[in-house]
Amino acid sequence: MVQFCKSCLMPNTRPRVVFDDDGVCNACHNAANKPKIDWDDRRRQFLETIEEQKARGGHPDYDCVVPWSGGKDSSYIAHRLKFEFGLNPLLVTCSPLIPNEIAVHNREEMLKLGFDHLMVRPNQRVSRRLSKRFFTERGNPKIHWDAGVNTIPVRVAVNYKIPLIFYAEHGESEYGGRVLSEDSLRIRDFTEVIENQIGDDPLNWMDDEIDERDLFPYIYPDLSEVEEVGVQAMYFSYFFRWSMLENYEYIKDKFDFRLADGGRTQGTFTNFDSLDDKIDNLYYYMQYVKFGFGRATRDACRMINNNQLSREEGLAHVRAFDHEYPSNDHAAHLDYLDMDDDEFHDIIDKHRNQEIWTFEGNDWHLNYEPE
Amino acid sequence: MLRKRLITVLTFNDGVLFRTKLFDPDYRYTLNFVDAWSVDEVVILDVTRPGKGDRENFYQVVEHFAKSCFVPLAVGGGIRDLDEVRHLMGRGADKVVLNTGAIETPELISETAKLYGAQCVVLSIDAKKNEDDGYEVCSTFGSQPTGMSPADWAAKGEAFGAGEVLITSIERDGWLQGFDLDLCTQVTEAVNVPVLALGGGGSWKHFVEVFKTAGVSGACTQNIYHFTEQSIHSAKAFLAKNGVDVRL
Repeated sequence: MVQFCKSCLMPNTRPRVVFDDDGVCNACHNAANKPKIDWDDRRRQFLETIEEQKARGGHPDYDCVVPWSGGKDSSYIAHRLKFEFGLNPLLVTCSPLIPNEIAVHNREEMLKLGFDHLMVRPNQRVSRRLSKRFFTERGNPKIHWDAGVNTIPVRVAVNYKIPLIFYAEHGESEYGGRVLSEDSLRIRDFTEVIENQIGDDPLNWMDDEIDERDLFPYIYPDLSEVEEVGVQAMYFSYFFRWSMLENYEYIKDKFDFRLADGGRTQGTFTNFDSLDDKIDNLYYYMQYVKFGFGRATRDACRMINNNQLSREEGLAHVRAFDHEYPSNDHAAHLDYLDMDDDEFHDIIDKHRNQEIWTFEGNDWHLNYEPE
Repeated sequence: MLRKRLITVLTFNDGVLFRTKLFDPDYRYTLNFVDAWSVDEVVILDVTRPGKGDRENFYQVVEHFAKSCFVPLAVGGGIRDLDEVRHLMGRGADKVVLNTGAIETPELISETAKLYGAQCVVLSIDAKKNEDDGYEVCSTFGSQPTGMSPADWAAKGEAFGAGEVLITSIERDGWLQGFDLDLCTQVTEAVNVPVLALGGGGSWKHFVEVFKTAGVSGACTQNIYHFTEQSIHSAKAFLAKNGVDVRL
């Protein structure tokens, strides 16, 4: 039985989301709690953390690693760390699967402001093979990218001996999920992240053509190495109030931040979020297929949570855009996945759950929709 | 020497395949990629909380697997009496999995064994650590402590006629950090019937570990991403390479 949060529009099909007895999701509770947080105190905690890190010693030039896509959230963090707090962050990117021009442009513009940047682009024979497998089996073509984006910044921190990493937000509390401990809002718990985002051990991905060495970019460094450098990964969202829209508003006039062509991204009403990988459109569309809520629901909920959109406005966006197929990048998706159209659509339909979808009158219909 | 078995355990909430974590269903998945030929056995469990669904939805899942599954099919969850055992066998189960029903009425084990044979009765035991660093059996979705130790209850269950024991670590359910080897070893040492281990299997290394150090006959995975043909193939190749005798 699918139910929708009474405060935002998130359905309980979202993995791990927790609803209370009144039908309100944990992301809404998290948002409602934000005004009660003493943000001045959190800022003090942030400054203390920075001082402690400096006292511990580390890399002579880099103060921290920032996992960076070139998008609004990670650029906002990096910009504040450098220009407001005087730190020198090393920006680290796990390459998008299918890079696009917007992201190349935005990263270059940001780098002109004065940052060092490392990008890791894993073996594309392996990456394409894994994408095809995970799109097929899990309805998610970027499971291995999720592994890479988690391991690569840590690997860099270990190799460069930079003991501090600033991640963006804690997804389970911000957007709905299972919060296992209070401390996990501040310090990134990699076990939690790997279980939630990747779902199994990347070493299990060996097959007839992929061996252990091919999986190196996705394998988390040995814990003893991480401990030797004393790498700590923190969430910026613990120290400073998190808002996707406000992050965009902060960054948009810091450099020539390019937005989605045509005024909005397909599948949603926003034009400023998740712009850096052509595979993302497919990822969000598969979220719609598997769980019955699309990219517009995702964006609307994030803004409703932060009082930037009413539930009614959000609902109108959901009705207008959630179902929209990402046709602009379709050819790129087929090429990356090495599939023809028929195979591609067959797999999409295999991920439709009968609890969520009914086939009727030559088309698929959602069994439950928010009201 | 019997070959070691790799077993897929699927949990259903009102007829929908869900992953569970710490015994809470929290992640939906489709049935369309579940391998039902190269794995050695499939266990399907109804984890719908009382009053939260229609049991018929689960029966339909049983029928779906009975038709499409080419390996033994064990079915459990919510079995309290012999009528329900008969019903599930009628719908296509090869074995039944008894848990809370067996704790409440241990004779259910012997009655089922008498009717269908001991090989059709799997005693499922959910256990968690207690304050004395031992283990305690819990019933009713792992929520009710019973005061029994898993080893004692397994031995009693064997005496009542259970043909297999499935031991689950509640604390490791949904995690990927490895099986609880102590718990599994305590149970394998207490009984002569085959023991199946569940809870915590993440990396294929964990599966080798539980076979080699805990002496189990079957290692179960409840991870939704281990159910596919490619994953099973990869797991078995790894097990074979590491000296575990499995059916390839």
